[in-house]
Order: sequence, then C-alpha cells, then structure tokens
Amino acid sequence: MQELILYSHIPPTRHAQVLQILAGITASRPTPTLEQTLLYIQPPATLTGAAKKAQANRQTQVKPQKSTYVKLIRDVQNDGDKTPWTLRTEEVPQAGITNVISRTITERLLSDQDLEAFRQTTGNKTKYCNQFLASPGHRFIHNNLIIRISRILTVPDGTGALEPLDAPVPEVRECRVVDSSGAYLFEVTVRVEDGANSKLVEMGMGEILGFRRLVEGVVDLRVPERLALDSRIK
Amino acid sequence: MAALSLKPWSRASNDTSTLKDILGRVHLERGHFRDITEASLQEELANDGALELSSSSDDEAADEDEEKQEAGNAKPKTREDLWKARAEMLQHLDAAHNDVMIALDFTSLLLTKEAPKVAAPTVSQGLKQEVPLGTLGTDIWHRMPVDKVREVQDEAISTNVRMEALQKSAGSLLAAAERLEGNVRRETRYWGELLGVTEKGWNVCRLPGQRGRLGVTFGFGESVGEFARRGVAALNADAEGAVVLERGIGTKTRGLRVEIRCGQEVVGSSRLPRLVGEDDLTLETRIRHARDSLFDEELYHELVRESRSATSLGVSMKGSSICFHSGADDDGDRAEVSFDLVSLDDSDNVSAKGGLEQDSVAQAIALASRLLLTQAHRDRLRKRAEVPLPISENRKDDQPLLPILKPIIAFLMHQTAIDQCNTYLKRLDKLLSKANLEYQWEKAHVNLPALSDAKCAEAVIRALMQPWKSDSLLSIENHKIAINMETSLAYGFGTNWSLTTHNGGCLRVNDIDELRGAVDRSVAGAIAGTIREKAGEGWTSNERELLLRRGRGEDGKQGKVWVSLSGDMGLLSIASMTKKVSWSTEGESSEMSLAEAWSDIVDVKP
Repeated sequence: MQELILYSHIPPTRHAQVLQILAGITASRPTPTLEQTLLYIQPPATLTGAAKKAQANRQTQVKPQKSTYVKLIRDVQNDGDKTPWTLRTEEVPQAGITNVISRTITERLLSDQDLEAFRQTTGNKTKYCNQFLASPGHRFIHNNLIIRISRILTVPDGTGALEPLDAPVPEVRECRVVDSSGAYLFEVTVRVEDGANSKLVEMGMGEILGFRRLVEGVVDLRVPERLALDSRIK
Repeated sequence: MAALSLKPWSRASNDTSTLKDILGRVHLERGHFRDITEASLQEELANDGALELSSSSDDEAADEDEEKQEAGNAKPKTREDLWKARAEMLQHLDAAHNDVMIALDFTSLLLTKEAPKVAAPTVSQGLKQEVPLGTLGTDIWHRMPVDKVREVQDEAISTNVRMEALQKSAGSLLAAAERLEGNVRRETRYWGELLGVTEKGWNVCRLPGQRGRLGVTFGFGESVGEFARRGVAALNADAEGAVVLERGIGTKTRGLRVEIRCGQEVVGSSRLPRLVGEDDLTLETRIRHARDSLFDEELYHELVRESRSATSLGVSMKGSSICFHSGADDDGDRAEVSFDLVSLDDSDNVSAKGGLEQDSVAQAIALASRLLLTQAHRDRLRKRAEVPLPISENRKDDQPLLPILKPIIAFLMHQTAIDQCNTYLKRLDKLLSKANLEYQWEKAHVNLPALSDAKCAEAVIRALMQPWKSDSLLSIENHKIAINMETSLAYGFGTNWSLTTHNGGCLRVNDIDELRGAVDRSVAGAIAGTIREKAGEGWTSNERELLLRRGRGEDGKQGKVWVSLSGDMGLLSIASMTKKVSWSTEGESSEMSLAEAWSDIVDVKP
C-alpha cells in the first residue's frame, strides 16, 4: 500500500501542550505506546535461472539491486514480550510529489509460521543490524490519519548480541535518547490501499493536507529530504 | 575660539597695481572721491583702532558673561557673522517695507471709495486684481458711552449661556455614566449566570462560525450527524443581562416510552420524566430537558435503524412505534412491547398512568435501552481509537447498527423460553402426580450473572450482553432428564434447546414444539425404564417404540406393553394388546397408581 507522511519536531517543553491540543482535535485520549523496532538488512532477491535467461535474451540492463533495510515492529506497552511482530518494508519515497512524502510500503503481521520462516532467513542471509525504542510514545487517530508522537531511544550496547527476536525488551531506563535536546518526533500518516488509484490517493492527500492546515499554528508539518528516507543500503 | 588659519608663504608682493586700479578700488569702497580727505582718513584710522580696542574689551566682557548672549548683540567677528547680520537687517527692512506698502494700499483702497479717480492709480496692481475698488468703506463712530445696564445684561446672558452649556455637558456625562453602569450590571449578571452554568458541570464553549457568542454543549461526544449538531445551543443575553437559551431549545421535549400491551389493553408503561412547570424553569433545568430530549430522540432513531434489519426477529413498525412480540405463540395472549417517542408537552402523556401490573417490566426495558445506548457510544469511541485500515475502494462508510434492541429481545426470548419450559413441565408434573410416580423436578430460572465484582457500568452492561443459559431437571426415580436452553446474540440468534435424555443421549432441538415431543418421548422412556426395573426378569424395553416386551416365558406368556405420554393432551397411558390404563389431567383418569396398573395389565392373559 501507499503511505503519505508528514513530519515535525516538538520541543520537550511543548510536549504536554501539543498532546492536549490533539486530544481536543480528535476528541479522544492519547493511546500510550512503546514501540520496539528491529532493523534487518535484507539482501536483494536473486533472480531465478529462467528469468535470467529471459533478460539476457532481451538484452535489457539489469539494475544491480541493492540490499534494503527491513523493519520488525511491535508495541510492547500492553502485552510485553507476547505481542506479535509486524514486518515492514519501505521503498524510496516517490520523486514527483513534493508536498508530502509518498512511499510504497508493505506491512504484514507475522504469525508464528511466518516468524519461523523469518528466523530461517535470518540464519542465512538477512542480517540483524540494529534496534531502537520509541518511548514515551502516544498515538492519536483522526478519521483516517494516524498521528504518532514519540522520542527515539537507542538501546545500550550489547543488546541484540543474542537472538533479538526472543530477547526481553530493553529497559527504558538504560536507553539513551538519540536527540540530546529531548525533542519529540511528530509523525502523521495516512495509508491508501492501492497507490495507483488516483481517486483514493487524492482522498488521502486531501485528508493529510487538511490536517496540516488545521494544526498550522501549533505544529509545523514539513517534508524532509526525500532521499534521507531511502531504505536501500549503499 | 581661536581660529587657526594657514596662510601660504607670503611672497614678494607684486602688488604693483597702477594708480588707476587703486583709484577704482577706492571708488568702489568709499564712494566718490569728493568725500575723502586726509582728515577723514585719519579719523577713520583712529576709529578703527578704537573699534579694535573696544571689540577686544567686548570680548572679555563677553567671556565673563554667559555664553548664551545673542550673536546679534555682540559685534560680528567673522565674515559669516557679518553677512548674517546683513541678511537679517535686509530681512527686517524688507518686512518693514512690506508693511508700509500694505498700509499704503489700505489707505488707497479706502480713499477709492471717497475719491475714486484720484486714488485709483495709487492702488498697487496686486491689490487691484484681488479686490475690486471702492469696496472698503469707513464710518466714523463716536465713542459710545458706557452702558451699565447693557453690560450687566451681557454678563448675565453670557453667564447663562455658559451655564447652559455646562449643564448640557454634565447631563450627557451623567447619561453616559448611567449607560455604562447599566452595561456593567448586565455584563456582571450575564457572566455570573454563565459561571453558574459552568459550575453545574455544563461545558460552555465558543460557537463555531459565530464570533463573540458563547454556547453550551449538552450533546454527547459520540453522537453522529444530526444529533451532534443539535447538541450545542447558543447562550444569549436578554435586556436585563439574564442568560437565555436560543429559541427552540428546551421546548418540545420528547421522551421514549415503552408500553406493554396484551391484546388491546395496555398492561404496563414506563415512566416519563415530569416537566417542571413554566415558572420554575431555570436555565439549568432547560438545558437538562434539552439533553434528555436529545438522548431519547437519538435512542429512538437508533432503534428505528436497527428495527429495519431485525424484521426476522419479529420487530415491526406500527405507525411510528417500534413493536415486537414477547411471549409464547400458544399462550393465546401475546404480550407486545412497543417503543414510542412521545412529546412531553402533551398533558395526557404525562399524566400518571402508574399502577399497572407490568409497569416495572416496561420501566426496566426503557432503562436497559438507555444504558445500551451509552454502552454503544463507548464502543464507538473505542473503535475510533484503533488504527484504521488503509483507504480502499470498498470501504463501507455507513455507521454500523448499534445493538440496542437485540440484547433486550434476547433476554425476553430467554425468559419466554423458560416460561414455556416451566409450563410444560408443570403439566407433566400434574400428570405424573396423578399416576403416583416418584419424581423430582427442578424449575428453570434465569441465571443472573454475578455482579459483585462489576466495578463500572461497562462491566454491568457486558454482563447483560452475555448469552443466557438456564436448565431444568426432571428425574424420575433414577432417570434424569435435563433440559438446557441457551440464548445468545451471536450466531443462530434464538434459543438453543438441548435435551439430555435418561440414557445419556443429547438431543438438540430448535423450538418448543419439537422440545415437547422430545420431552414426551424421553419421559415415557424413563417411565418405561422404571417399570422395567420393577417388573423383574424377562422384560426388555425398546426405546424407540416405548415398548416393553417379554419373550415367551415359562408360563408361555408373551407380553407387549406400550407406554405413551402426551403432555399437550395431558395423557399418560400404559397399554397392552387388550387392556389399557390411562391417567389424564383433564377428563377421566384412573385411580390406580402406576405399579398397580402394571400388575393389573400384566396379569391379564395376552
């Protein structure tokens, strides 16, 4: 599916005020979240023999595919270690669109078998890279928009040496904040099932841009550098 | 102030100017030669020296004086000062000249009246263009004697006029002060009442789209559409500053009423809130009436929406009221429950019809429906806070139906099922007692969920929405028959009956008629079983045909005895090929007990 995203930055002194304003806008309380994200490096999918031959016949250039980052995310606020993982792959944001970040993503809740299959690939090719926590985190829902406010923490060294999928969640106390000023990351997302369907994409754009206008004085939603969100590994 | 000036080295002055040049210069400076004599020149020299001396002494004096002395007073020291003084003098002269010319023109103009031809040429051109000649005249006035009376009058008039003006201004100031005071009073009253409203718990907010006006919200957070819009009312100030709800709010209040009818007669009715009389209508009560009315209207709206899809459960709309039947089909009189939105202004609606026998049931139904609506609101809020699915083509945007009727109907259905089961078993009970059988019977009753650990309203309502289960036990000597009923809102909406027969078999039936048949057979089977146990050897019982038979025994007798039971008709009988003993609840019934009847039949030779 296609995801349209806008970002912003909240200084820690204004955190409580922004939470209150959003609670008023959405007419609901914030949902506290504690997200743990694991980063894996996935090598490019290798071509099978037949496909290779077909390509050789056509004499087309094969772009050397790069390894990409793949994320495993789960929210450990309520159920702790028992929460199932979600696998998320992201692509480079689309080039032509400048007022939001628009990228194709796939998200899949991993069942037990899927998790096993993933573990197998971890042994062979997919390599564990890093992990981070997002805490304290809050989530609001406004019509179709998902609004997330969180602070990214890096885990202490040594976590992930053992199998990170099974290890207990790192303690928040021991983690360091990535941004030393203590500022919060503000993220607004809307997801569209089919990126090619322009009517739906228009609807999504309308919603997210309307939300940006709505919070204009409170939160300054911006579009960051598109290539900074590139998920390929150089 | 010492001015430093640098002069170039003085060269040998080639000042060999000719006499002609000198003479020219002197002429320019001094005028004609005639005036210049040696004596005058000497005098001039002496004066210059005196001037110089006096200027230096003046300087000292000036130094002793303050430096704020006018530059014009001191002798001009530098060339600039000289030029400045010259310019000033010229200015004064010019001004004086101007004044004189104007005076001349003035007199000329005057004179043009008296002697036009003579004076006309003396008037300057500029004045001639501006003013026509002969337009300025003169009168000679004699000095008037001092008129005391008039002076006093003038004084009086001027004083009066001044006083009048002052009084007028004083009057307008007073009026302004009064108006201001009135404004302040109105505003104080308005804000005082507004604060009172806020203290009672109502939320006062700005009105969208109307700047400078406040409104009170009495709606509910999770209502949608029309009901969300109607939940806000503007608070206006009237002439006295009292707070007044905008027109139309708090009037035409409506309430939901539940009525239970048996046939045409109303046997139970829920209570409608009583409206306070017009005089006692404070702002707060009006807001409360508006809120209650809005809630009931929303409840009615949701009920109507739900009834459209619940026709399979027997819900229908009669006119403007939602009705459904609760009661057994064969009881003759089916109770009908109807929901109605009535206006509270109508006096005959409000008049207490209390005292009807099923009032409490109707009141309970009304209360349950209101609680279910608040629970539905809570569920809506919870669902709204979940992560939404991505936008896709076939997303249904309609509001889901709120389950308000369904739990109520479920409960009433369960109660009906229990009643049906109990009535039937009671009949069996009578029948069996006539046959002097030993048996035990446990009635079915509603199992109320344990509410002791329900901490909040949500837990109570959830308990209401659970499936209802009850069972009834009938045991004849050692044979047990259990009837189990379960009503749930989920799959298979309705009561599911299951029957556990005396030999352990479990049977599921769909409705009461099937159940009756099954119970009949099962009880008959149990009776057959008891007979067989007492009968002794040789007898076997055939479950399916409810037959007891004995193979050819030593006395060469073969026997077949049937047991039949019909609860509907109230008939129990055991019969062989030739003889029959029967008991019945109505009509004739044998006096023998079952054991006696058995021996009676068996003794008869087949």
